[in-house]
Amino acid sequence: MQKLIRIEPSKCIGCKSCEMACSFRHRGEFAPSKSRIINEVFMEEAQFITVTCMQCNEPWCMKACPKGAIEKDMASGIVTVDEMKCVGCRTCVSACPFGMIKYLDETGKADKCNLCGPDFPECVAFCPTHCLQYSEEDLPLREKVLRFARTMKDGQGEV
Amino acid sequence: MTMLQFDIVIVGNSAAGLQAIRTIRRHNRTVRVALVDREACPAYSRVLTPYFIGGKTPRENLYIVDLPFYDGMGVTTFFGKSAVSLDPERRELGLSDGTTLRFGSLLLAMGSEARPFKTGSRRISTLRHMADAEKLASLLQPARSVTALGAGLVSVPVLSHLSRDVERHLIVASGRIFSRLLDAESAALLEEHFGTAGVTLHKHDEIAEVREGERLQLTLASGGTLATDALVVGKGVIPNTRLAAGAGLAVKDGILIDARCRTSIPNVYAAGDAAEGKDFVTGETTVQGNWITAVEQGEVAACNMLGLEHVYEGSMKNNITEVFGLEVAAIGFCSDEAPRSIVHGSPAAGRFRKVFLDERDRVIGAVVVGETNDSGLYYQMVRARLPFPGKRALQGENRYAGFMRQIA
Amino acid sequence: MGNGWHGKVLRVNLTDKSCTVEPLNMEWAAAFIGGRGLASKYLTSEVDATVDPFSAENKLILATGPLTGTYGAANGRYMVVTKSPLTGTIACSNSGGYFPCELKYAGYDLVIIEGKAESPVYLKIKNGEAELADAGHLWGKTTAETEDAIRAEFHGDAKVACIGPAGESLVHYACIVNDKHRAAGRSGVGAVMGSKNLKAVAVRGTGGVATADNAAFRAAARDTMKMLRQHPVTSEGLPALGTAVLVNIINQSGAMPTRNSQCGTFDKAEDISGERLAQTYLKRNKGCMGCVIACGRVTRLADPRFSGTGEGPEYETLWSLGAACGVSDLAAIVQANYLCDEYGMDTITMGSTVACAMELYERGLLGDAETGMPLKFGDGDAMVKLVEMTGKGEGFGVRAGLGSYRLAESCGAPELSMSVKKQEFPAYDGRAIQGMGLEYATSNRGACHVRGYLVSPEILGVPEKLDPEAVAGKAVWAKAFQDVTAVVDSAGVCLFTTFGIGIPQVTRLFNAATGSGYSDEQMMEIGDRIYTLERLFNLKAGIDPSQDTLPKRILEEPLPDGPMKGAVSHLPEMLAEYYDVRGWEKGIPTAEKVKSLGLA
Repeated sequence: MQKLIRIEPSKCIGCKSCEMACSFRHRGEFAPSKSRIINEVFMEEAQFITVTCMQCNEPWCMKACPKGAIEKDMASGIVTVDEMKCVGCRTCVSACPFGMIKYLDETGKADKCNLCGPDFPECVAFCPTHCLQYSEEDLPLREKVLRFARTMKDGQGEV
Repeated sequence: MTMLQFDIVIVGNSAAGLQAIRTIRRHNRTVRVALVDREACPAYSRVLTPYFIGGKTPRENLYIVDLPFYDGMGVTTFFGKSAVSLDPERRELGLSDGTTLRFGSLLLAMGSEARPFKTGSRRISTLRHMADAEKLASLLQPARSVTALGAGLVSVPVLSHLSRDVERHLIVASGRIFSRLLDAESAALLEEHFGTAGVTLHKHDEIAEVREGERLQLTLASGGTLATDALVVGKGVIPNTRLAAGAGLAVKDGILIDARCRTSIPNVYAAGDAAEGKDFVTGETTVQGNWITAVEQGEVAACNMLGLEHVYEGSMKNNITEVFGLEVAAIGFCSDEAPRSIVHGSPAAGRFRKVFLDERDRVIGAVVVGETNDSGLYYQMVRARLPFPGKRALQGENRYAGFMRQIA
Repeated sequence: MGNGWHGKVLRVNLTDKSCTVEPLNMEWAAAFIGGRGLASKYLTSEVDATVDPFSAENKLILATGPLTGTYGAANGRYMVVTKSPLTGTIACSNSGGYFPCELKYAGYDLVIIEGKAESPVYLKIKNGEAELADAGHLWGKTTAETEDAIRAEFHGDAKVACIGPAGESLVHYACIVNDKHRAAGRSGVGAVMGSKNLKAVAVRGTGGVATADNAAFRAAARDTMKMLRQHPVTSEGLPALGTAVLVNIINQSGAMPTRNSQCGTFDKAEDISGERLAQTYLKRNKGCMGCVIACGRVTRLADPRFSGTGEGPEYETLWSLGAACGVSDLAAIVQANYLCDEYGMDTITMGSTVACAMELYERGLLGDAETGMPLKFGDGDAMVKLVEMTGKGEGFGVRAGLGSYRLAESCGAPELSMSVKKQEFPAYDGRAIQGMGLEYATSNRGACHVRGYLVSPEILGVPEKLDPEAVAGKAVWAKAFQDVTAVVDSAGVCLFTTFGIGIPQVTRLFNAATGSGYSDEQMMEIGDRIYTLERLFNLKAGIDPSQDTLPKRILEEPLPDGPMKGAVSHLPEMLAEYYDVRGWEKGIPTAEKVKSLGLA
């Protein structure tokens, strides 16, 4: 089974430590806008939502890449951008339905979560409430995404 | 004369063809596959050629795969050879070197050609193939002044990658840029940006005459003249349909296909820039001509050639690029003919979003200018025929969390 | 530069509408760290201590610290420094949320706002670009309305710090609210902003904060977080019930100033406790950026009279709008708390002013003709009404907007204001906790609990248990706590972390971030330096040592109830010792002291 970052929204305190940890590790500075994981706070609804790349089985980004610069490792399931190959054309950006691959100005390349492979995910290591955990596939979240995708397919619109 | 037998023959070694190969091999390791392309090199990316011309990426990086890729995929390649004849009855494809390929199924994914410019000159080039890219790269390197004819997704990115101190001209026959891509308001906004970027725009104009000299002397229909070092021609593309038309396949602008990417003749499929299939939003057939559509159609065609039922819901515009430092994405139906549109932001604020809605207020298209990292969400909104999610969705940079909230 | 500081100051002149970027004075940064210390250095260097706080000559400084925007010790704080209209002293109010980090990510250590705009404006900052925009359409709007409007017109991900109608009408304890529910609360910093016709500061920052030694910083942060996750206060007490955990604790200690400090216990404390809040309106816990504690409470009010969503109330608010007014109506307290956020007012001074007004009314020093309604202890609806009138600047609310001291003085009974240097003290009785009394009297911004929180040792036993009744030695503790707090406030770290960590951890994080090699002793000296600098400003402003005192009630009236019954504050004894420990001669820093701290 593929290991993924599991998210338990009820434990989230909206501290964005995950964004800080991610950017500090991957960009060498604390810069949430460059984080690969996103923690959003919806105060009115009292909801804190954290989203990150699902490492899709059939990644939209990988399919869309006109350079073949995105690969999915069969053993770990991790979808990575090969920065040596990436030209920064952003086609993957417009293909990911979750907005989870983005173009980074400073590198001029596409950037996405790689679960910090082969290390332990830094966001999980710094999550103060264990809202984030690293373990085998999170079925509830997967199902939500699938439901989202199905809703899209059905064309019903009402999510 | 050689006669070879394959289960699947693919003509065209680009987005659609490559995706077809990958799809076939994901499902089936045994079918015999042949790939024909008139260029004698591994697949390269047409999306990236402007980056190469602008010196942003080396030539080697244009290649998507290398030659061993085809071996690994178990694909017999016929590179450097064009398909010159097609006999659908006998299921035979004739190549320029006299070889005949017999096929179980055939995929026509041979793309399109740049609409040519009447006058030939070594300082004039379209941009479609690797040879064009190489020519333009060497032409633009020393150029002090570059002119582009036609404002589309070929010519504008090429101008855009040039250094600011090169004099840049853009000649457009119509009243505005990106007329096929964008609505008038978004186009006007970009035109203003072109101005600040130092590009001279010649609207409602044409090149009447080209004279060779120390520099290229262009006489414009409006009467003005321009001395320039290179002329990039981007007046659109013409799908490669001659082979198909000759074989009796139904052809409009492109080779007509149904939702399974089948042409009018059994066992012959088409995909990508050569094909004309249903548009997701309008339901009318169109040659969409973008990378993602080619990939999607290549996959659908491959599945159906293998006998796996796969229906395509229709193609959509999905273009994302950077023009003179400004990110722009055009997704779905972004035309002034949309029943309703909602605008958020302004170019002054550095971000602009225009969402196009149908009569039932469902999202049918979007133009995203400034920050485009959320453009995939709009693509999916259109695909899902989502009702407009509210202005708040337009405000932030990445609103996927917002969708998750709705699902949670 | 990659060492915690950006080395950049944004100077905004409202008079000539200019925004300029200048280099940060790195010598000062080394001597005063950032945040509170560094901003105080700038303010005291640039502003004459005698200026009218509402004049164009006063400045308003928004200051992040070198650790703001990083992780480890809840490093999401910023400081607002100016001269206070409430106290006439230097004011420095701290806030968390997301705005402080966003300001740091935009690339600035400090924003210095000077002059006065002719008409309402707001400041827009998007990374390196800063400009003033018209705010005519925002004037009069509540803080939440203002933030929503700015997000819609500027940037959906912008973070906003703004004033509400109270700041516009110069309520003397108006605060600056950021992220809708977080406030740089005390001393009227929002009124200064209002006096400058500055409605809001909106920031979009997409840059980052770099540290000098990433590996060392990461290790220090991990260790710090581990300590915070292990300490009972920061891992259990505060996360479980927020600061409201204190209601029952303080009440049981007999230190809950009730009915304008007429007694030390509140018989209905249970009704306004953290436990009760958790059973009723609490939706979830919330942290500021980089927080590991999450003391914030997201609440939703459902009551026949009120409805709304917001953050809090905090302990101090439960006390000020509750026990201080004798109010046990939790819904009314939560509603008044929301109103304070919306209008932009400090809940401590607001509640204390209502409490003072209630005592004045009950004593007949205020009549219905003046107040427009009966104001009796325990009346939650009247409390809410007066809060609303103050926010709107209506009727008696105008007088309430001046704070309890000015109100009581105008009624001829200034001794009924439970304040020091005209700022109301918070939720701990100086008779029941001797050290807190000393702290109130010597705090540089008037009575305050977050300048030296001696409740921690005297009641909670952290870092060690002190006898709250004892007098000897409290001065040493007061100075140590005040200096530690000054360092923490300057670094950009949340004060609440100091329950679980101390100066060694802050120093370690600071050194790793900035590449400095400070010892713990040097850091403590910086705390002393900052404290003394503030003191010197206050002396120049005419706040003489005679004002280092407490209300007569605390000094002379024995507590009538509870476990501390009979206690009064022994301030004079402690104060003499305190001056000694500080190296102040009769309350005035000696020349040698000033010189040794490099303040000469």
